[in-house]
Amino acid sequence: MEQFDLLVIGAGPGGYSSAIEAAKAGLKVAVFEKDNVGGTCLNVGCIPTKYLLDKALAMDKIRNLTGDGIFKDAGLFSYKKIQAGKDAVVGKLTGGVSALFKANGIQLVKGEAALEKGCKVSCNGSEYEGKNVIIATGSHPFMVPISGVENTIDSTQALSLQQVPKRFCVIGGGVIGLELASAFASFGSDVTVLEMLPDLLPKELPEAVKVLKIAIKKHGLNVITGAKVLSAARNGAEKAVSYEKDGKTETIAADEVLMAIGRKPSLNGIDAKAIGLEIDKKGFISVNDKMQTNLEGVYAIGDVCGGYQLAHAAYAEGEVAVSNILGIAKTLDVSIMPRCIFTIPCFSAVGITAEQAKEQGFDPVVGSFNYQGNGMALAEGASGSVFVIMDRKTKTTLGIQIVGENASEMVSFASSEVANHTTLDQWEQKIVAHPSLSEMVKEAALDAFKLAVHKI
Amino acid sequence: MIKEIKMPSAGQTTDQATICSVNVKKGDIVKRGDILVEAETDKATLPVESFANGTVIDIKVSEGDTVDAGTVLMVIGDAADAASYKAEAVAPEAAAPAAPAVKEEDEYQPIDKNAAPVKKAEPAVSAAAPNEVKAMPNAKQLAKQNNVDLAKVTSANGGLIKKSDVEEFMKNSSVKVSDDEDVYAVEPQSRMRKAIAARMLQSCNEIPSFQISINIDMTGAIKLKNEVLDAFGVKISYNDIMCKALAVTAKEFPLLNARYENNEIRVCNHTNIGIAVGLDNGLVVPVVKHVDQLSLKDIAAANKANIGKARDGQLLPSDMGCGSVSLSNLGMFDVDEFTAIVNPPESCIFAIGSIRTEPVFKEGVFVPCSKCNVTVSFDHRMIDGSYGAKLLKKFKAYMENPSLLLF
Repeated sequence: MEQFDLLVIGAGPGGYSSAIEAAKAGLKVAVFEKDNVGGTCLNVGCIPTKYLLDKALAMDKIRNLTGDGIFKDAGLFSYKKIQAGKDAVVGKLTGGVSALFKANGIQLVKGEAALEKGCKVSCNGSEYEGKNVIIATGSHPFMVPISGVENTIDSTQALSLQQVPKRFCVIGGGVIGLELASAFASFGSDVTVLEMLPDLLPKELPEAVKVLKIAIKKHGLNVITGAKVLSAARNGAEKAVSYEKDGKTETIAADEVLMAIGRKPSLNGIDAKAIGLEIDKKGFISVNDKMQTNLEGVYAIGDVCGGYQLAHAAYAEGEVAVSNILGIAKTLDVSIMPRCIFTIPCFSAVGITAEQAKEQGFDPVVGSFNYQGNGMALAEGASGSVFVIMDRKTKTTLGIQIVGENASEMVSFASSEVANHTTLDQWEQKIVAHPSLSEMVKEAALDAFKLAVHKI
Repeated sequence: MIKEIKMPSAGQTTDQATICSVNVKKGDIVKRGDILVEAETDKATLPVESFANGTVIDIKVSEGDTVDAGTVLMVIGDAADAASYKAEAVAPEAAAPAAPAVKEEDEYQPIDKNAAPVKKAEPAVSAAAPNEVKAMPNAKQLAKQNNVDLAKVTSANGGLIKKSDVEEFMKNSSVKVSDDEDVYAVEPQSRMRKAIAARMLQSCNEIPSFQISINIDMTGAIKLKNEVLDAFGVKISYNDIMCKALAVTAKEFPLLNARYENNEIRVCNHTNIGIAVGLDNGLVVPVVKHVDQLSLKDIAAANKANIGKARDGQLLPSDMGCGSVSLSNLGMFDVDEFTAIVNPPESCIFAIGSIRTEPVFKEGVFVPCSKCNVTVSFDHRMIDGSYGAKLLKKFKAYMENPSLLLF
């Protein structure tokens, strides 16, 4: 039986980054992957979605420029070529991960791994033993067993549709649903989003969510909240989604129906009962803040242990797990986890909302700044708003939420301010490059205390 | 040996032609010189003849297809060739992917959501294998132009839907009838119609033209015509005499031989004259070249040949578009006078009315005289009023005294 310092099950963002980090620290590492390296994020998640959204954004820009008469006509686009371009980028990135494995001496075992007692893994008939194991098996789309669920597609299938559906119905107004809805709206689909909850993104700042809702509606998304989906029927090529809203049953016709109501942990090869692994009520692997499971030497990171189902959450969790494996005690701080939704326009948030701040005993005050007051935004034709949540008493930064172009880039700047609890004085001393959208983050922070320069 | 029949070059201005009829079918035995396909360019209908004897093994075009010069239209050979050709053809087809390839143009759709979507091919057609096309391309086109659902059209011969089937359907169908009083039918435009439209619009847009009218005493010309008929048994037309008079006039007024091309006034060494020939479906202007070197007899023969070819649709592109002057004669329709539009890039066009008997005041009394009104439109970029007037004075003198043409 081959001996390793660390066995990693799954080569998604959490798994591959943990493996590389551990290998760089001198550990002997093997990674098991049944599919393509890169996991959901690289193959059927963030990256392909982002590729589609980037082209969608470019097309919106062209439409706007055409509307202004700067472009004479908008021209034609090929969705087939967008798909081909997407596949090329995915291929390049997954190839890059494989090269990193090779360069760091990590052994990649292709096949479905089974975790056994005592940090042992069997794969393709061979046994591997590690001092530690990281479970990073990820998640897969959860399909609610409504009547006619077979007439719906999951996000993986939606990403590789070979033609733009004329009518696109999305069940689930979460991150994945809204992102794909935004992309297809740009490509010309009539998009309807059905969300069961009474409002979108209930955990985020209501002011920011309101701005986002208006913006995505303008972008062409018909969002119906409080809609409980009953069935997805099929008549020839046409599908019909029935849902209940306010006690009434309605039906909408669609050419494709995406079900994006959430993701389930992937536990193939992890027989929790047999090995005594603790699973929480929702079916995710239970971990502590060091990413340790109840089993000695077994860690779990990423989507499989719930929490933020984000690639960068998995990266962060992987770092925590590897540090602890290396004997450096480290815990996960999720309070500074940036949250991005790549809608058009995109949304980002970090830290807490005003409501959460109240619950934690702060006296929150929300400053805001509209993109219309920013030179860069006007030059780019960008629109949106920045919100900064500060504590009235200590004048420290508690949370930042941004809706609008480049929100996902600005959130990194915002994250460090939240992490550092930046005070009003520090905000005032900050010099932000001009012209830039980031200026608005400072302005919004100052506005919390009515000190914004470019706001009446 | 397998022989490929290729699309010949259609002339200087275009290398594209639309196949308007395919006269043979697979398996037909053809001889050298048989007309296999007729193709329509913007100027003429071009018969494509077989250069070989044999059997038609494969037909690669159908009516309505647009082809470039050099495109293989048909494959001809003997029985052995047929067998070997099949073997050749099957191999690449089998290797081709089964999925129907999306055509390049179908692949693209407008970015502007409000723009008309790129129409997808009829599902039935796209689903079928390429060989199982249900309708001729020109039938599809006509159906599309008139919003006719091809599924409702039945083929007269039970096979492919042809253009005539669609026309028949449109005649019989009552879909067009509505309460709306402004009902109209869209007249399909032939290549010739489109070419005329484009040329005439170009003329009006680009050519600053002016007109000069003259009134010619045709007594001399009539006499000449009759004398030629009596002496040689040859029937010449007034157009022929005018051609001769023009060619002689051009010796003194070389701008009659000029063409305005590429912002240059290009004066030809010879006089090339076009005669407008009206057809049922349009108009062509075949040109007699080097009129200055031809006798009246030759001019008459050339014009006669051209007119015959024009009516039979046999004109070649090289027979047209190379003149500097055109004659348009509506005299036979009892037209007194009219103006014509300069045929670009020519310098002028002569609009000739009918010969009428008019009273002329001569030596104190009115005498009957055969008169003909000619209105000439000149391109002012090349010819000014006085030049035109002097030129016409000379032309009139030659027409009225044809014997001077001998000088």
